[in-house]
Amino acid sequence: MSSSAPVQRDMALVDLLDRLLAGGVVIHGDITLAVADVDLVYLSLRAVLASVESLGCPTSTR
Amino acid sequence: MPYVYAVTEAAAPIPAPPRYALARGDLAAVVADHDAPEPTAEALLAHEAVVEELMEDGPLLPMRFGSVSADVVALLAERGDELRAALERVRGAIELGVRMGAPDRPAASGTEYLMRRVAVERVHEPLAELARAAVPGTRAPHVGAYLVARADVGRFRTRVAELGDDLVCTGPWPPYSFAG
Repeated sequence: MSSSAPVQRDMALVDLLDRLLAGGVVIHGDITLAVADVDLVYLSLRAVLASVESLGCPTSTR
Repeated sequence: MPYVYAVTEAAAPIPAPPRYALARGDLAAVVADHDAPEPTAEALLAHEAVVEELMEDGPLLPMRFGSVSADVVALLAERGDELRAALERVRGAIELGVRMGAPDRPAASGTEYLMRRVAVERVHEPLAELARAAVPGTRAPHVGAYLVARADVGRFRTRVAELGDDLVCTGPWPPYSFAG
């Protein structure tokens, strides 16, 4: 398992992004982050994670 | 406008400052007096750390990141039945995610797409049987999200390993996929 830990951690981060930005209770009408903004955040953070993964940074597993 | 982290039970322990609870009947919202943070990786992880800490105190429904509300008490009143039922559903359980180790990119061909779908379904169904609730993944490397009783987490992880050594189980997460 230890050799795949960096990949596992990055997968966990991607999973976390999916949950934080697309899951959870939504307050209709009051939310400040517009859907379009969320999509942009999502794409930019995913790009960061993808580059981390390709570098194979040593990271702890979740 | 308070930033809202989660909906909990009014009976839950008082959250650590600067967070505080706004109660309405048997429900409460855990809030803090700050604006929605810029959605950086650090802010997302800080939000998650708060929610995970709260999760140790009892059942909770995490809010979507970036939620602020001028009148969260009204939300608790208007959607009380729905929120109460969701809290009962997640009581004593956590969320686990399961992904295939396949690259997170669109299928390169129709054949690859179908092979992925079949592989995902083969894994999702037996895992759903071990979960209190399950949501299939919307994109191929995501097999699904599973609401699993804390006592069953070990059994669930063992089953994931049995079903394929290319599978990755992430979590435990607050029940983001089962809050609505």
